Formats: sequence, structure tokens, C-alpha cells
Amino acid sequence: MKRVLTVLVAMATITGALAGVSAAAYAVAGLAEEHLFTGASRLSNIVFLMLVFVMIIATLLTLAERKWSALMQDRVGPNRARINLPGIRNRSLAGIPHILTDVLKMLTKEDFVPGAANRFLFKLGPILAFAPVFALFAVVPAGPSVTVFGHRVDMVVATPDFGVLYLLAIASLAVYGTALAGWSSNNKFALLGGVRASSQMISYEVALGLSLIGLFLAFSSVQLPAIVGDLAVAGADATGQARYLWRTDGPFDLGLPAWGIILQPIGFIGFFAASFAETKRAPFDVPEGESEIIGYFVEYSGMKFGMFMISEFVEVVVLAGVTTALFFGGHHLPFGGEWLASQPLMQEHGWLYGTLLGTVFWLKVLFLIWVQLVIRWTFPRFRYDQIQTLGWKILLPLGLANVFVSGALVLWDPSLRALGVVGLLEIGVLMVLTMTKQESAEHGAHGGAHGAHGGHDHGHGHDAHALPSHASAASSH
Amino acid sequence: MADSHTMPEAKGHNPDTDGSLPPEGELESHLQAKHMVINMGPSHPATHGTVRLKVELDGETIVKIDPEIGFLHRGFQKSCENVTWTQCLPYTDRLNYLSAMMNNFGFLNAVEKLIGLEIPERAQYIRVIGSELHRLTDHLTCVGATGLEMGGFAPFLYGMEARELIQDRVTELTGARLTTSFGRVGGINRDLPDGWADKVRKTLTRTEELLVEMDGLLTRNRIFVDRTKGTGIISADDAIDYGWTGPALRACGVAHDLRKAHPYWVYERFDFDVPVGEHGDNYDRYLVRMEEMRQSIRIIRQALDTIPTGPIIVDDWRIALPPKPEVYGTIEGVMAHFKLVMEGIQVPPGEVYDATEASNGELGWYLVSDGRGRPYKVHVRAPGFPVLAAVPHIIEGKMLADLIPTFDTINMIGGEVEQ
Amino acid sequence: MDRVSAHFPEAVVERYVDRAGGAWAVIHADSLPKVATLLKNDPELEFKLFGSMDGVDRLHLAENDPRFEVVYILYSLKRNEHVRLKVRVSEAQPSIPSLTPLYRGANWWERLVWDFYGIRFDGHPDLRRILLYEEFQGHPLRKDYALRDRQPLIPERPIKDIFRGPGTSGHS
Repeated sequence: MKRVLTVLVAMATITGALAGVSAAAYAVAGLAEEHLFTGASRLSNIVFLMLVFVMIIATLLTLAERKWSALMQDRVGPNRARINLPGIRNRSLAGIPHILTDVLKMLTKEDFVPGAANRFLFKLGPILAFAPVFALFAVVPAGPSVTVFGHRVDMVVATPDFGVLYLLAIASLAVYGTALAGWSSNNKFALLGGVRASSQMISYEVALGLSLIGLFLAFSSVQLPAIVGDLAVAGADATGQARYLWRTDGPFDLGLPAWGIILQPIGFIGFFAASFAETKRAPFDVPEGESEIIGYFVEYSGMKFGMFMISEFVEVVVLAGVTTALFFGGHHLPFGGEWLASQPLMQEHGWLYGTLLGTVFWLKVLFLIWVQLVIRWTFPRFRYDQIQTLGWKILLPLGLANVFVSGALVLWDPSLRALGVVGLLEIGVLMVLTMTKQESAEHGAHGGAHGAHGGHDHGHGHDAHALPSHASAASSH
Repeated sequence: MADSHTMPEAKGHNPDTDGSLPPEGELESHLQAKHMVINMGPSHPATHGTVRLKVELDGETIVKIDPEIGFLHRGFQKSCENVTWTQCLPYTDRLNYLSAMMNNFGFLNAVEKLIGLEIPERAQYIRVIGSELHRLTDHLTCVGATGLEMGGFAPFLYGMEARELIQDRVTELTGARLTTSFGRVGGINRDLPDGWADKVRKTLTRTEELLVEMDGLLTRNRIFVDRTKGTGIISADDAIDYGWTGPALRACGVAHDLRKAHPYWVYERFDFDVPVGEHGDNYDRYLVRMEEMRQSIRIIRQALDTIPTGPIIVDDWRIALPPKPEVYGTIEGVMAHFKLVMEGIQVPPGEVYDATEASNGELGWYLVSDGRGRPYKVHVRAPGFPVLAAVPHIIEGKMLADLIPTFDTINMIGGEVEQ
Repeated sequence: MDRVSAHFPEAVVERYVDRAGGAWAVIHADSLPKVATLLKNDPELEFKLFGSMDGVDRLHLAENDPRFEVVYILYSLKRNEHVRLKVRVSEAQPSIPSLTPLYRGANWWERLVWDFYGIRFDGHPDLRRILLYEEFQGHPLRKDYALRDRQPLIPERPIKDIFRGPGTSGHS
């Protein structure tokens, strides 16, 4: 009971913190517009979105991952570090001091450069790995555009027309960091890791781009704010993912929203898998593969290694943010969005409305981060060639087929309802497939079926293994 | 990229091309790819203990591999030859440090054979229980490490939890977690503690639960199956030729288990099965180990239910220490105690080869005694030694990433291989 | 065993049974491959599993000529029994025909025996030291190799008050 309560309190705290920072972001952006020049809110957004939100979430994620994995594995997790201040002297503070100690440790460690390494490239590696990932978040809208202090404030750093293309282009730059890190350390293991990383990232970029094309077709745009869309207020039609495929009439809007996950479930799976591979986390962590080749950053120490590590966590946050904007309706509520927007209170206080929906966005991001953590700690690692097989032989044809099917459906029914129906069907089929696989596995038909657990001899699949009766007969000569 | 890395010799001279063009070999040399030789270990996360693997790679494929062992060599045989028979016991702990009790009991069994001694029934039961407990810890570590090194951290920690519970029980029994030095020639040096059997039963129940968890995480996990099925294959004939025994051989489909073939102690009284694989790949080795753990649990349960009362060590003061009241109270007791401690057990001259089924296979002992109270020769047939010898045969031509699960599932233990 | 005696009466020097009931046969070094081939390939014997082998230095035993004994343990899965073979070699000419062409499992064991006893195996493809390093002088399991004769590759730090195990010091 106490544990449940703790979790609830923690969740409320996190939500509150998100709301607070969102409110601060809007307020500061409005003030910047007021007192500085037009467009100054974008500068404050850089600070808030990219430094405050992404960095702080990524930093806390280092702890959250350890705590969550501990929960999954029957452990306690980090709780040893203490802060020697009155009142909290003997409190573990949920392990938060560990973040500080980690940072201190990395900053004070010897910054070692191997003698035969190329010093310039060696130092360039972590920077190149870190910067592009960080820059990715610039085009992701983290909240609605509202009026604060009489100025219009967008909760996004930049809205270039080429939106998602910017994402793909910058994401592919990150490969230089890992490849250079692997090559310049003059270590064979690091080289192997670098080669693995670059081949994996390059092959998954194809699947990554392809899985998004269906989405572009559906929303006729590659710009992220356009894909997220605007609500139907003041007579204008709703656009992007703010639309409803079907909705009830009446002041409170309830219906099936045109979110990317419903229109493009296959695209979502492809995108999620491919971008997971880009983050180089388990099960796609062959470049790291600590039990085989240790990884492309073997030779890095101190904060240079820390850069690689934190860039991995930043990638997780950015991936969650991008996926939210593309497939989970960005900052929109699944229902009641128009009702909320039409409330007089919300129309008067733009920052309040922005804060609410900004919190919604970040909660979705946290959910997706959690999904990534669960995947990370559940699966073992692929083999190198299996990763390539998955990318080229499964995700790529799947993405291609998805493009054609989606294109035809969008052409046939521009209201996207046909696409939505097919999408729901696809989700249903996937669910059914997952269920039946589990069942058939228990009946000994699936590939992983092996009989003879606890004496029951039901292993008559093609690879039935333990046959106790046979074995004891054979060995009792 | 796969062709040779030796430069073709330019044969003969061609007056037309000499001087104007570089020789043929040099032209081709731009396209030549050299094999990369990397050195895994002796200190590498995947080499349990310390093994150095010189691996020649062509891309990700292993062309040649040369395991180089001996970094953990401690001079086991030489040490044993210079101490009394009882003093050898701590050295045997360090052979397979994951299942020390099996080494202890295997050695003692061989010495008892050499003397021609039959130990009390209760001692035999305790030996069976201890052996099977340590077979559990050994297999748990092996299976857990297999999961760990393929990136799944959770199964490893589930395994560790069960292992720690069993280690606690082992500590209550022997006084040590890993280096137990348990048992003495002629029996066992201390009896089961009070209430220990019930604790063990509880531990086994929890272990079974954790086994189910590990099973759920690994056995039907598509990635795990892909990584292990069809990798590290060895045929039954090859395995026998290399001298494989134990779970690794059984995974090839050979139902050979010394506990069934030559039942020692009281193994023939228990009802247990010998799981057998079919393909001899990593997946089968993993499954065989999982199943063996369940069988071990069965054996321990039966043994705990049927263990008789009685003495735990032979009543022969030439072999076993006299009871303490005798030592303090009678001159004969003091004499026997003194002689036994100072001179050791006087094993009559002779030789013996005796084998027990340890967690990784046949643990054989070839002992020679010259009758002077110290072993003249202690040869140990470590089950991991022939298994490791076959690694080049298994892995050459396969991928580097396959090396890791193979190395895990054969469960090479540095301590016993390198003596 | 009887079959071996029947087939190659000249190969078997001596046969006896030890106290635990294990049957032993001492074989002439020259006829070892012949005997092993028979044991392995005879359809009724099929001693295919190469158990292990090791050497014994009989220097301090009562009967010590020839000085070395090499012990082979083979196992038959068909008959579920071990066979124990012995070959005696003299110190002057310590070499035996290798069994590696017959049993691949013999490879490392023969390297082990070479490493520790200095007995050569003719026809072994790769007779290197296995546990010790190539620079090691002598063969440490010979009885005349002193227990504390240390040959560290990297000089050891002298620590005076540490008792380095039993036995007499070999040098210094």
C-alpha cells in the first residue's frame, strides 16, 4: 500500500513539475516577446525546450532507468549516495544524489587519450555524437500556439517547411560521431563497434524514412506543426491530428481522433523499431555489445564517455518526443480538446491553456520513454546479421507495402476514414497474431516449443528435447 | 574480401610491362583485405575466468581461433603432492569454484576408493544433497550468464537471486559460500543443522518460481532463440571424439550420465530423468541445463524426505578424527588425533581412477599413493578441459557474436581447466 | 581388454586390477596406436570417448625404471565402462606416438603432458606448452623440480614475511 502511495505521489509530483515548467516556458516566452524583439520567444524556447526539458529529463532518465530496471529485476536500485545536509543526512532521496555523484565522478576522472589515437578526431567524436541528437528537438512542437501578454507564442524552436526531413538529415549526422569515435581510438574493438554502428544506422535510415511516408501522404505535409494540426476553433476546420475521423455532435467532442498510430500502425511499428535501432539501445545495442566487443567508446573516459552516455538518453527523450508529435497527436487531448479550447477561461488566459496542453504532451513523452525502458530491459541483444535481416528484409518491404496501401487509400478517401478503418484492422490483426502465437507455443507447434517440463512429456514437435522416459531407458542399460 | 591476404608472387618477367607498370601483385594489393587479428582476453567480459582468445576475423566472421589458457594456473597437482590427503581438500574447492562441493566429494570419493572404504549411508545422502545444490548454483550461473551476455540482464539477476538463496543454505551447512571444503575422507565433517531441511524446501520452491521466470524471459524469446538456435553446433560424434561429457554432451543427444551409468553413493535410489537434447546447439545446451536444474530439485526433495539417521563418518580413527571427548579423555584418542593431524591419512600404496558426474561432466580423479601419507600424484580430469579444446572446431567459420553464447553454454570454468 | 590381449599379445606388457576393481593394462609405446585403434573401432568395444590422460613421474616410487608412465583413460558409451591404459617411457628417450590423429580430444591432453612432464608425442600437430608460458624452463611436475622453484615472467616483489606454501625452497 505504501509503495502504491509512493508511486502515486511521485506521478503527481512529476505531472506538477511538468506543468510548472511548461507554465514558466510560456510565461518567459511571452515576457521575451514583450520586452525584447519580435521572435525572441523562439530563443527562450531553445533554453526551455532543449536545455531544460530535454536535458533534465535525460539526466533524470539515467536514474529512472536504473530504478526501473531494479524494479523489474527484484533489486532495490541506487540508494546509497547521501547528501550531508541537515534534515536529509540519512535519506536516500530515491537515489537522486546518485546523479550528482555520477556527474562529479565523470568530471573528475582522468581524461585519457590513447597514445596512438588521432587526437583531433578522437575529441571530435563525442561532440559529433552529442550535438545532432540535441539539435533534433528544434522542430518538435511541445505545446499549442497561444497568446501570452498580447503576443503570439509558439512552443517550438523552429518551424521550417522541411520539418521531418530536417529530423532525418540531422539524425543521420550522428553516425559520424560513432564511426569517428570507433576509428580514431586506434583500438580494434572500437573499430569493430564503429563499423557495426555505422552499418546499422545507415541501413535503418532507409526503413526510418520509408515508414513515415504514409504519414506524409495522409497529412499532406512534412512539417511537424502541420502534422500535429490545429483544433477547429472560430469557424476554421481542424487540421492534422486534431481532426476526428468520427465524432459525436454536441459541445463536448468525443470521437476517434485521426492520430498517426490509428492511421498508420505499420508505419508506427516501423518507425519505432528503426529509431530504436538508431538510438543503439538493447535489443539493437550490437555496436556496444559489451560482452563481445565492448563498444565503440572503449577508449573514452571521464566526461567524453559521459557525452556518449548522455547522448543515448537524450536520444530516448527526442525519440519519444518525435513519436508523440508524429503518431500520438502531439499536445492534443484524445477527446474534449475543442470543448476545452472553447471555454472562456482558456480563451482569456492563453498561458493556462498552453500549460495544460504542454503537460499533456510531456506526459505522452514520458509514457513513450517508459515503453522504451521496458523494451530495453526485457530483450536480449540481436546478432549483427539478424539486425540487418530485420532492417532490410522485414522493415523495408513492410514500409514499402505500407506506402502503396496508404497512398491508394488516401487517394480513394481523402477524409482518411478508410485509412483509419484499415489501420484499426491492422491493429486488430497484430493483437490477434500476438495472442495466437503465445497459445500455439504452448501447444508445441511454434518454433520455440520444447516439451517435457516437470515430467510432462508433450514434446512431439520437430525439436522435442527432453524425453525422460527414453533417456532413463537408454541409460539404465 | 574473403580471399587470401598473401600477396601473389609475380612470376617471370614481361619486358613489355616491366618498368611501365607496377608488378601484378602491387596492382591487386589495393583491393586486398587483411584479416584482422584481435585478442580477446585474458581480461574480457565474456571470458569467464581468464582465457585469452586469439581471434582472426574476416569482417565479422571468425577465420581462426586459438584459445590460450593457463592464466589461472595455480599448480594444483604440484600443491597437492606436497600436502596430506585431507589438506588437498581446499585446493579442490578452487577447481570449479561455482560448485566446490562436487569437487570436494569427487576427490573424497576417489580417495575412499583408493583406501577401499564404504562411507555411512547418511553421509552419502548429504553428499548427494550437497552435490545437487551446487549443481543448481552452477547451472543457474551458467544460464544467467548466458542471458546476461546476450544483453538480457533480468534473467541473470533472477538466477542470482536463486543462487544466493542456495548459497545461504550452503553456508548454513558448510560455513562457506563458495570454497566449502566440506566433507572428509570417510564421510562428512558436520551434520545437517536443525531445521535446515525445511529451509531448503522453501528455497527450492522459490528457485522453481524463479526458474519459471527465467524460462518465460528466455525460452520462447524470439531474439534469444534466434541467437542460440543453430549456433555453436557440434555433432554427437565430434563431441565424443573430443571427449565431451555432461550437459554439453547430452545436448548432442547422447544420454550419458555417470549418475545413471555408474550410480555412486545413493543415486540409484532416486527417481530422476536425464534430459537429452537433439541438435547439440547452444539452445539445446541451455534447455538441458534448465531441465537438469528441475531434476536436481527433484533429487534434493527425495533425498531430504528419505534421509536416514545414523553416523556421518566412519568410526575408524586411522581415517576420521576421533570424537572430541575421546581426544580430551583418553590417551588413544589423543594419539589418533595427533597422528592423523600431523601425518595425515595413511593411504595404502596403489592407484585408482574414479569419476563422478560434476555439473559440467565427468570429473575424473587419477590418484597414486606411495603409502607415505601424501598423494604421490593427483590428476584431475576437469570436465571443462576437453570442452574448451573443441571450441575452435565449433566456432571457426561462424560469426564473432556466436562466440559469446557458445562460450557461455559450454560453461568453461577457468579454475578447473587451468588447474 | 581380453580382446586386446588376444589380438596383440605382444603389445601388452602387464595386466592387473587395482583395489577399486579397475582393470589396467600396460602397453608397449610402439603398439599404442594399434591398440587404441582397435579399442576405438572394434564394433563391440567402441571406446570412443577420450576421457583423459596424464603422466606420472615414478622417480620416488619403489619401482622406477623406466621413469615415466603415461596413463590413458578411455570410455565406451556402448559398454559403459572405462579402460585404463599405461605406457612406460624412459627418461633418456621420452617420446610416445601421438593419439591426436585418432582422438581429437587427445590434442590438449598431450600438450598438457608435454608441458608438465616433458614427454614428447610424435606426430602431434601442435605440441606447444598449454598452461605454462613458452619461456618456462623445465617441466614442473617432474619430481626433481623443486616445489618453490619460481620462474616469474615479471620479477616478483620480495615480501619477506610471507610464507609461500609448503615444501623446501628450490633456489635462493
